[in-house]
Amino acid sequence: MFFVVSGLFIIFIFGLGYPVANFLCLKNDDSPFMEKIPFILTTGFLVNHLIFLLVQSLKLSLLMGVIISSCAIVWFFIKQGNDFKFIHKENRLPLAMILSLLLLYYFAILSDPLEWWDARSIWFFHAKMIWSAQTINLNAGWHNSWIPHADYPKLIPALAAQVSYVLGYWNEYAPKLSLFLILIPPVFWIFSFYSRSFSFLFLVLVLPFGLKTYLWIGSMDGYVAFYAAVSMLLLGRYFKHHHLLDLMSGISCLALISNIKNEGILIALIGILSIAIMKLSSGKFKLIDLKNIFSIPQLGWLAVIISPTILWSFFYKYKWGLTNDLHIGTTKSLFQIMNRLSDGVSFPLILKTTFFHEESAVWLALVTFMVSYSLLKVSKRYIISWIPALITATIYYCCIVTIYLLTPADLNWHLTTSIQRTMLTVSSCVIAGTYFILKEIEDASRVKP
Amino acid sequence: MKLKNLTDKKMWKNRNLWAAILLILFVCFYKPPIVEAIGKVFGSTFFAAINFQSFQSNLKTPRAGEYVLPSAVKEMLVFLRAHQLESYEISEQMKNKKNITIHQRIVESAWPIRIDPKSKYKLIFINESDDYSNCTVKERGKEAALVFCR
Repeated sequence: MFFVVSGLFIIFIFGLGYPVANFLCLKNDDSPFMEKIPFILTTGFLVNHLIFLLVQSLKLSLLMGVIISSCAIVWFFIKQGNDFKFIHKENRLPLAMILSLLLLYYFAILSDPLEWWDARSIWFFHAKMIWSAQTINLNAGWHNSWIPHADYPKLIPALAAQVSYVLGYWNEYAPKLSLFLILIPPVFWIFSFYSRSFSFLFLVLVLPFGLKTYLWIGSMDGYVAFYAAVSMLLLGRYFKHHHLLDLMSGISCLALISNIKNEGILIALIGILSIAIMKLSSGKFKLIDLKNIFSIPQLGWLAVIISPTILWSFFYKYKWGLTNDLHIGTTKSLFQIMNRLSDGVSFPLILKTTFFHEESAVWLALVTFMVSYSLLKVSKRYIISWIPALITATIYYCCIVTIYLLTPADLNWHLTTSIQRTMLTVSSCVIAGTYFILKEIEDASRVKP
Repeated sequence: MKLKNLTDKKMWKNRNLWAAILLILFVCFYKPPIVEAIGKVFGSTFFAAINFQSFQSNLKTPRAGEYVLPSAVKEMLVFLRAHQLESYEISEQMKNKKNITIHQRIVESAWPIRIDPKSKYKLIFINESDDYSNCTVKERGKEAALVFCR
């Protein structure tokens, strides 16, 4: 029964994403179907969340979703017929690797019950609240003072609640299916970079294996880091080959992570900023180019994928008075920053911990990047694909340092309990940038006699 | 590989060999540890495959996995469910910061049974029994008790 539900959920999400992605974005796109799958799924997650946020009822949202998804699946089979490009010979090996990796993670995620603190007390507790109230509105109990971080985005908790609703019971294993579902698109995207090379091996070892337990214990940080790195990879490839699907896919990743964690909104904004910087610094950019990139249907798709973030983070949260415990932007937080900058201890401690914490690989990621960049210069090759990743990693790092400077919590406690997780995104983005450089060096050495 | 091969100059000009060495070094130093993650992923799959019945049963059994809760919380859950309560209150000692794990775990595992300061049913630690001598003991376990206070 559970395996059937797992399969049905994948089809359900695909069906929700297919009409929106295909009709608004992929109409004239001739990319291989395998590259479209993660894009359709990501759009599906966002459409599913949008429906839930709009109707607020678990039952009604699932009912509406099933109707839309069923129609879309029928449409898909009629339209697609036998033309499944992903079964083409050159795609068979990556597809087999994707399926094997996903199967391994299916067991890794679902083998253990929810035990880790944040998973139990925040993410899956929120899921249980939604599931038991069968709604995401205030009846779920967000106003109770003992509910930690009620303001956090709800995409994964809502998905976990939907899984439990369909199953008809709650336990400490089954809701983790939501983690597996969210893992599917980035795994597909990583293998869209497949080549028989060391650079790809380097990439696939870090993403997903370098995210270690954070992908299966119920932490959202692994997923934020994974999606952030994948979006940088897709944007980097877009700036190299100017393939519109890569830009759309990168943007959809950013939209999705802004519904996973509050930090995701920050990464999404920085990601958009990095696209703008790249476009403006190319010297060829004109406003008319925007019109070419974003036609009216694509603007419609964009509106759909950013709506869940706007609805939750900028509407419901304020309507329902769900505030963040960091008090960002208040006078108190500004004083806290000034105090910590001037005490001569806090700022060096933050820098030292962020770079050299025993569970953080930021220093190694940076060293690898610098060595690779030096080799690129020696090879006299030129590439810009790494720039969005480095811009995002740098600005995000500065923002995280600022958050540590303003935190009302004890600084030592805050650093030791979170640094290994927050730095995952920084190191993953640096690795994404490094991948392009290594690939370029490899290609250069192949061209030379 | 023989020592003679290792000292062969041609071998050290091999780019693939250098790339492999650097990749191995990177994997060894990277944190979180990559090798450990690969081991865990394969280990989980292996154990799930050999204990497939148990893997499947965990997924389809309501409330499965509550064994990870502290024993005091497990006792309290049994009390709340046996009396089919809709709300409860916890003792002052349980609200204390040093008992934050117990506090947090009972809140989330008992949900949708909610904490209500007005509830007459109170969960207490066994060592607090004397403080609640005016209340009726409804359930008593090894670490916790459920009392009814008017």
